[in-house]
Amino acid sequence: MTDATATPPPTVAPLDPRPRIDVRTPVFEGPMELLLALCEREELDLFEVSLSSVTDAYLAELAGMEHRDPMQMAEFLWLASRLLLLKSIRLLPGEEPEPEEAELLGWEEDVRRRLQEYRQYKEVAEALMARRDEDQECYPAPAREIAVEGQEEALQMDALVIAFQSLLQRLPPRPLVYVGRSWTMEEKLHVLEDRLNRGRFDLAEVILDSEDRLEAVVTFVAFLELLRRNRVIVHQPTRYGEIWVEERAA
Amino acid sequence: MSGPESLCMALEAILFSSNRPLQVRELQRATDSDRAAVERGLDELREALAGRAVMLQRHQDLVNLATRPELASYVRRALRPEVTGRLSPAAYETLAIVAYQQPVTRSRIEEIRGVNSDGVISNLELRDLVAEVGRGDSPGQPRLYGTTMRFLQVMGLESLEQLPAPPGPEADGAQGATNLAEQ
Repeated sequence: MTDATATPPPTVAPLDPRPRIDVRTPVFEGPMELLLALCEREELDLFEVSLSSVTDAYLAELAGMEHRDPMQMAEFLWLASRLLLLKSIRLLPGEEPEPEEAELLGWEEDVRRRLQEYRQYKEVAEALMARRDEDQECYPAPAREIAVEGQEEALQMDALVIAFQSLLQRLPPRPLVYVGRSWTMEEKLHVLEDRLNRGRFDLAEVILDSEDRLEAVVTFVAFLELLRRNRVIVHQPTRYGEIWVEERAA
Repeated sequence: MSGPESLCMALEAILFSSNRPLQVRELQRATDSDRAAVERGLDELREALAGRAVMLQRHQDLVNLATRPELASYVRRALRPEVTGRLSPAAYETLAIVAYQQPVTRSRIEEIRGVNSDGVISNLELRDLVAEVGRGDSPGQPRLYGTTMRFLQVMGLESLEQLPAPPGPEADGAQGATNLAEQ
């Protein structure tokens, strides 16, 4: 996922030999974004001058890019090749454009139109972002307690996994020289069953009880197994509140 | 229903006690009224709520009562609702395109952004800011995306008509409503 909150923040790896660079440089998601940024930086009005005038800047940016996934890179390179071809046509004026060249000139118009459109949406996006920062949310009536019993709602797996990932971030990674206890799912199942015998438990609390992330994962998988076996009922009385796990009456 | 005034009040009572947005259809059933009558009742309710802390939110056929955006800071201070995670610039870009172009296909979004948008779209879907609203007529019947009621709530809008600025060359950013807290 592209969104920053969806990907887990970088974990602390104590023995990572690579230096960690925290400086944020703008990452251009696609060729259009890069092209637009370049035009703004060079203060070029794309409707006045030819696209070919940004070719050099575009190529320089491309050369300085960190290596990225080949599919994405292909999109950047494709635009680079078109720009180069366009520039070569512009450098040799006076000749009748060949059909292929004429097509390329039409392409330039198309790119300008798309850049224009893209810039408009980028502006709107900034306006939306500003609005969000103004603390202007509207609050509807609160959701009532939902008990997953009787009329069961489909479990939103994605949401559950994201919630679990954020819990994982709160646990330390296992130190490398530490010989920790390793857990099997069966063992964790017993632990959870013991807890259930003593009454309901808070899912987050049980997960955070883990000594390291591996243990947390095993606990979570064991919990999923209990769900799958239909052994437990899950309640979340308030939105974003505790998730209570309780033994299902036989 | 004995008259339009009581219909307006009935609608307010239903919306006040509901913990989710309701369809106009549901309001019709609950009040034994036809669509036109419910729409009139809703218009009346919207006017009656002018100057009140609660307003009528409308998204397509869904209606909802919610606090006015200017009052957000009070609600937040009193109840400390969970702050939803921040969105990336890419997510806002996609959200802007969906908001103004809806119903819109994934390929149209990608055409404008010039980049694959699968991940951003599913993230927005997961946050309930964008939802599939139907299927297109073109080959393959592509999914069509639109914004949600949650989008209006998060952005503090009564309806989509209040969206900041239309995408156009003269778009110069949104001027938010004056904040009551500052007065």
